[in-house]
Amino acid sequence: MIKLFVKALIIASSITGLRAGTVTLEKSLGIHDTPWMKTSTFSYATKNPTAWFELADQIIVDYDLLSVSGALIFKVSNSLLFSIFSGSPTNSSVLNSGIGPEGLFDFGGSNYITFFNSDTGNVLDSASTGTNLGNLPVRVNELGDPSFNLLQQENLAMALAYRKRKSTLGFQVAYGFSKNLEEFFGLAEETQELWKSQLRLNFGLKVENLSDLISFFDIALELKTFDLNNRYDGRVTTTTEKVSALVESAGAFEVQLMGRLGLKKSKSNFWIVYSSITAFDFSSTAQAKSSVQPFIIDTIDNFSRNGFNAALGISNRVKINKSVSFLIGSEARYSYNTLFYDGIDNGNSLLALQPLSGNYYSLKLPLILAFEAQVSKSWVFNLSLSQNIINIPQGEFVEELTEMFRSNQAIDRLTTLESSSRVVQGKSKTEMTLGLSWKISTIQIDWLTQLEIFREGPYFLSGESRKFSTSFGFRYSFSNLKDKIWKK
Amino acid sequence: MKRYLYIFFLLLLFVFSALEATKTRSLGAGITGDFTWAVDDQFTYIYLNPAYVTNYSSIFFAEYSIENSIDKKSGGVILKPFENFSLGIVSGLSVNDDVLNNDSYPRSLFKRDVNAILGNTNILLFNQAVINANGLSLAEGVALFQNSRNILDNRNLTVLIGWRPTKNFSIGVNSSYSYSIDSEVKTRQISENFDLFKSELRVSAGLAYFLNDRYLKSIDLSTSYTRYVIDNSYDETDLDGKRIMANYKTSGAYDLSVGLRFVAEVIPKHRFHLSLNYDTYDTSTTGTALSQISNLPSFPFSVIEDYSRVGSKVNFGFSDQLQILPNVMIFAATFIEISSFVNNYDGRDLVSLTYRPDPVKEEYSSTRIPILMGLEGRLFKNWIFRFGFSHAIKTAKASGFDTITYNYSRADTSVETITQEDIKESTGSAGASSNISMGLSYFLPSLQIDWKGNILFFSQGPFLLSGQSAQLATSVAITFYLSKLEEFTR
Repeated sequence: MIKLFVKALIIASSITGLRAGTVTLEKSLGIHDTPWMKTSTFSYATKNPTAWFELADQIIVDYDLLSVSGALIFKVSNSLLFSIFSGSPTNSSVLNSGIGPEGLFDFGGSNYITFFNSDTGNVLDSASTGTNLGNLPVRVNELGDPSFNLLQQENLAMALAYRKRKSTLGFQVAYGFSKNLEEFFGLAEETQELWKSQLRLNFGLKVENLSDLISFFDIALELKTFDLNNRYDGRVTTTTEKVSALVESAGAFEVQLMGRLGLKKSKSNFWIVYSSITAFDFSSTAQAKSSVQPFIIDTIDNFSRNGFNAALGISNRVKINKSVSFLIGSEARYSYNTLFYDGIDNGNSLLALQPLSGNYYSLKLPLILAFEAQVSKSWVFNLSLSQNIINIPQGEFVEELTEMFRSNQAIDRLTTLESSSRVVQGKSKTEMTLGLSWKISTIQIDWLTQLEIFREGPYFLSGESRKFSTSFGFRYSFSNLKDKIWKK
Repeated sequence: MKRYLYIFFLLLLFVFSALEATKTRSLGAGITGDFTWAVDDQFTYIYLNPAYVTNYSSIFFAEYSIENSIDKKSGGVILKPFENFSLGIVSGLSVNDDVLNNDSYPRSLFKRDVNAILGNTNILLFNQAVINANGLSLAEGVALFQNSRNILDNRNLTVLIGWRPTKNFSIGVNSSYSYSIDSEVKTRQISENFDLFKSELRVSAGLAYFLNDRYLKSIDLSTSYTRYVIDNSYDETDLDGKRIMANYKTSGAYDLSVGLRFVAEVIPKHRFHLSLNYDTYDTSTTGTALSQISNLPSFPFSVIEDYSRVGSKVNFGFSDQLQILPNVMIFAATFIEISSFVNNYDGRDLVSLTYRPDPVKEEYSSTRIPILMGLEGRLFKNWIFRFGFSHAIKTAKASGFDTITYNYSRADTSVETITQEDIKESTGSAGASSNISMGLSYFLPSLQIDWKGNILFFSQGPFLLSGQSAQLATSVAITFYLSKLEEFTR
């Protein structure tokens, strides 16, 4: 029994057969954040649509205990491919985050002058409870709360790729949105609408077999736009009193240019060199207006968040024999983000007392060692170790903040500056992932297993209840079926 | 029942082949870091003597354990990129925690036993007063001297390189570096800087000579040098240009170790290991504090405190490893370790030109004589069982050391001469302590899984029988032998 158990856990299927991967497989190899390190990865195909050809004629589904994603990749002809998929993750650190420096909802401390001002409490919510308004509770706080109206996955994405001789062109469009609308009609009329969307466009070019050494070269451009529009409007029907609040993105976008060079040193030794540069603007604004006595306000807070990041990486995949391959890779990633905040109280012609500017730096250098072994005809075992060679600052960024003080809020001049920076680095923790893949005929199933199971033992021995896996992937290749149908 | 026991021990007598090991495997037989020299093919010995990395064929290994309720992962790869040349990349190894993150061992960088700077100069009050006056909130003076801040636990990366130019000779080097930072700057009208920095650099080198002699099988020599750095500082200059500063840092702290091992085989399959190690260290630190401000709770001062910690350790070990049958190996090992450490704490006030009134000297000594006995044998075709029993014959007191503390007094603090001393001697012996460990390995030609068993699991039985929860193992490791995988999959 134990033998069977152990063998079932260890044994794996063919590396050679595992060319096409699910997201779960990427996770078990430790390359989910760096999918460029290997060819035929799902996540890289969502960046460069020409890579869908490497996953042609397949259905791929992933489930990570929280969400499901899936794709249908259909090769219409030898030169044309169509892919439709859903459930890919959105840029959650922007859309659903109040953590700086990227989150659209990062409103910093307590010094802002609109409804986020903790000194005065939530002005608009307070206003609403004192008058005829007040039928939609906490209507305003929700506008600036990232946990409401989450957008975590794209609704739909489609890709087209066209290949002619050595060259492939690809285009992809993906869109995701979430909306929450609440309305009340009575003595007061109130509307609260929360809206979030992400549009993603990808263009890719790939040229293959450039020489004996250069196996391929690919380049991709990705453009993402983020739209946040959370608003509240209230009107007292018997008077002319109105209250409104708005939190919205201010032209937020991200553009990334990336490229890979695949070098085939020998049949069993493959190198990939990767580089990317990304520029972004995750700015947002918050506005509030109220003509309800005694809370007359008219304010705008501007949160400007810009920056760029650059990455340079190299990976080497060595096929030790027909059953075993080994991957070693590293990616240097440098990020620079800026934040600037200022606010205006139009009603009183005042400026924010404490505007703020911040710089954030981050350098990461993860080293990944991954191992794939086919240990039986149908089973593949995947193991990875990853470690940042350079310690990452706590919170992932070195933060330098400069807070400015206005002694006279009526004029723009800044009187005092306070700057602070904080960096805590001490953890260079090794992470380990372990996965299993089972392949039979045209079906492949991947699991990302829980390490604890292997140490603690199964429930009947240890009494400790654990889920066997934290992620599950399924892949079905229908190329044979398609060929049969088409031949008929 | 007797019959099963008989079969069990009979099975132990079948084929046994010494396989390459992980730390988990060594611990299963009770072979802790003190005893890695005692038995052949202990994987962790490559960190002491990297020449032995050349003994390993290409492997990929990973270990997952729970140590003091903290999960720990480590692993790496050893490859042979060229003939006779080995390269190892390992991550997740621990730093010397006793030195870097503790204040309770004689050589801990934060062991001070006196709190002169904090106690005598009121620097914390100074600090807080200035901070309050300027609206800042850094107030981190005390953290400079605390072992619990800015913990450094793992080495960022360990790289091993081995070269075996001939069949009989190999050399190797091993290096690692790690650091941790906790730094904060605040500026308004004044500027406050607070920096904690800690690092460990370790380099070791070794050579091994494998003889064809009838009796003497190998001689190996190893040395390692570890450099520790602490540089903690707080610095602030007020509006009048007056300064408050404190720092606590190492004064060239290091560990130096030299080891020699002989392996002899008097009769076939019966090996003796003889080990001699000498360690010397200096983990001295210095604390300074300076204030030029006079209108705060204390007067202007400038003090310097020296915390000198030096010591050495000699370790002489002997082990007997006997392969009693092709599939069963037993071993017994012991060593005698004599440690001697001396710590001195003294200080001066550079403004009043006075010495500390109550310097302290502490002498530590200890003698350890532990014994380890173990067994490793093949249970079934693919299973190896191991067992270890360790016992400390002679240990010092529960604190681990006999201590003599000299509390000096200076009647006249303007001169360095000590006028009086009180001696407190604290010696004794702790009761003998014993420990057992158990381990299991499942192996195939191409891979091996090792568990270090949880004794509780074996004593109370599995959940199925006892209804009690107990984890099967405290550590698990997996090793792939890359060159053999193809053979396995056929």
